[in-house]
Amino acid sequence: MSRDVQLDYYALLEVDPGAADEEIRRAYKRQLKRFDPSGVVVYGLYRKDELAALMRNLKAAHETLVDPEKRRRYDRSVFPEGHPSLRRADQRVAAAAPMPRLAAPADPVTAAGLTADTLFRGPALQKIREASHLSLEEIAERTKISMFTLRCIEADQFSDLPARVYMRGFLKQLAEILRVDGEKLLLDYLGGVDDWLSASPQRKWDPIPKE
Amino acid sequence: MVEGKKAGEGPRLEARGAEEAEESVDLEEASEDGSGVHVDPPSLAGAIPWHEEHGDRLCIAFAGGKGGAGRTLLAANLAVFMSRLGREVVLADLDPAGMNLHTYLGLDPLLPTPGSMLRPAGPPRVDKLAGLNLRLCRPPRSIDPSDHEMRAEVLTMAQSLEADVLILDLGLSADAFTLDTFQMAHAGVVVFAPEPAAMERGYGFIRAALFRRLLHGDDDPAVVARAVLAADHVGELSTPSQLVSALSGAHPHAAEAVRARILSFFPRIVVNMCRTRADAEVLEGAVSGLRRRWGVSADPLAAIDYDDAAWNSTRQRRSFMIEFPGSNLAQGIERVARRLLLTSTRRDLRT
Repeated sequence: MSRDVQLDYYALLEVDPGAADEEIRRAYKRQLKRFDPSGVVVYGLYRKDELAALMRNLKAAHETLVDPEKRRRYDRSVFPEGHPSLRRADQRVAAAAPMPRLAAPADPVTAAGLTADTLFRGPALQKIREASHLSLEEIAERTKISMFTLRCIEADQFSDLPARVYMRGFLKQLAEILRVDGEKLLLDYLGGVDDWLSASPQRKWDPIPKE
Repeated sequence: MVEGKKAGEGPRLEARGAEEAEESVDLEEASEDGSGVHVDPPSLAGAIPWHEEHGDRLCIAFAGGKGGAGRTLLAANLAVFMSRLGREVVLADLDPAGMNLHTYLGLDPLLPTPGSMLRPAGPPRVDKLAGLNLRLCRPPRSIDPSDHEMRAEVLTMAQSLEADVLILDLGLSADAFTLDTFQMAHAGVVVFAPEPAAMERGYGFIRAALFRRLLHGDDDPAVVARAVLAADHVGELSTPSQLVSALSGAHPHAAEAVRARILSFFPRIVVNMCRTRADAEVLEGAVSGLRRRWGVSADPLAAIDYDDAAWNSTRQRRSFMIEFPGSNLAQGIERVARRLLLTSTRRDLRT
């Protein structure tokens, strides 16, 4: 556990939550220099082990915030309602929303009103996606999965899905974006496809990808 | 030029113990009915006299840090500058170990004879400086560093004098009198220098003031916090915010009060004798470090350049604000003065 006053990554680097990459890089360099273990600022303020923890936290903050994908995921997990300092500008939202809990990001499954043993099939995935405020377009853009396939997945329209080998990759990507258990998603969803296939000998999973 | 006054003429003071106990009850009630959190300083156990009726008089206290960082020099010259801005200023020398404000102002030291050392010291002495709206209040002779009675007497005398601004040099020791007076002032200033020993001493004083603020006294939050810390055998609670978290389960009111006391603590810091740009950046670095490490928000008053005007004016026993008004040092004091004159004297506005 860090002995620092608990700060989010932005506060740790002392940047605005809207800061651009370049600002974040500069801020990281500035903090590294400032809290240099051999410098005067830290002398008499931090113990060596505390300083090492601070350095690790700064590094983690930098690594997360300069990677657009990691940063989006971090923002969504730590500030599900938007960053508090951004929300302050919007009085209506600020008045309505309680302060987010910094340490405990909301679980997307419970946030969608589902339980841990809900089967991850189309409708459940749609609920989780909507509770996470993600649009199909956004997911299509980030994963490069076609809109058609995404719609088929959510509608459990198994006959139009691409081949199993592609589906495995798509479902893994989807699990990452939705922040759900990837193993469970694969098992549940592909299990659903198998159930559907075995229900009638006429049904086939088209081996030719529809992409 | 010399304006003597007897200590007895200062208003008499009542012990503050009983009054403080009542305040602490208020504090608990206030948090219970959700009507907000008191940010009053904690009980000071009647250790020092302090006038509640300050009126609009701004009180600035210099304390802590390492000897030689420039605390006394800056206090004396800040007083000179503020008096030149038209303020009526009283300076009080409450530094028992380094009673030297007079030296920086060109006043003569008070030299005792062997015989006078055997007699009672007598009342504090007040000197007016020629051509300035500035008076210096000091003990009648050098005192024993543990002579808190004489320090209290000087403080009482200084407070009884008519003034717009009261500037105290409390010295560098972190004794109860110094810590409490530092916190009762509207602005408590700690002078750092960009070298390890001075940084350690500066942080050390702020830490001591913070701990006293959180843990000293007979009111409930302090008692509860002390009990929680005493039970913490492994010493895991190494930051004030961890103390607040530890309290928040079983003692939510105490946690809230402790948190409010951390938030309302607002030490001002100056980094003196900066020779490089990196030295000047120590000011913001220290503010950032204090916030991270203890959750304390410190006010960065100024990074002041190292300047030959300091030793030059000191050698001549003249104020550098008068001898070297264009120096970097004088400009630093002007920045400090401007910031401090914006300080509110209303306690309920302190943040």
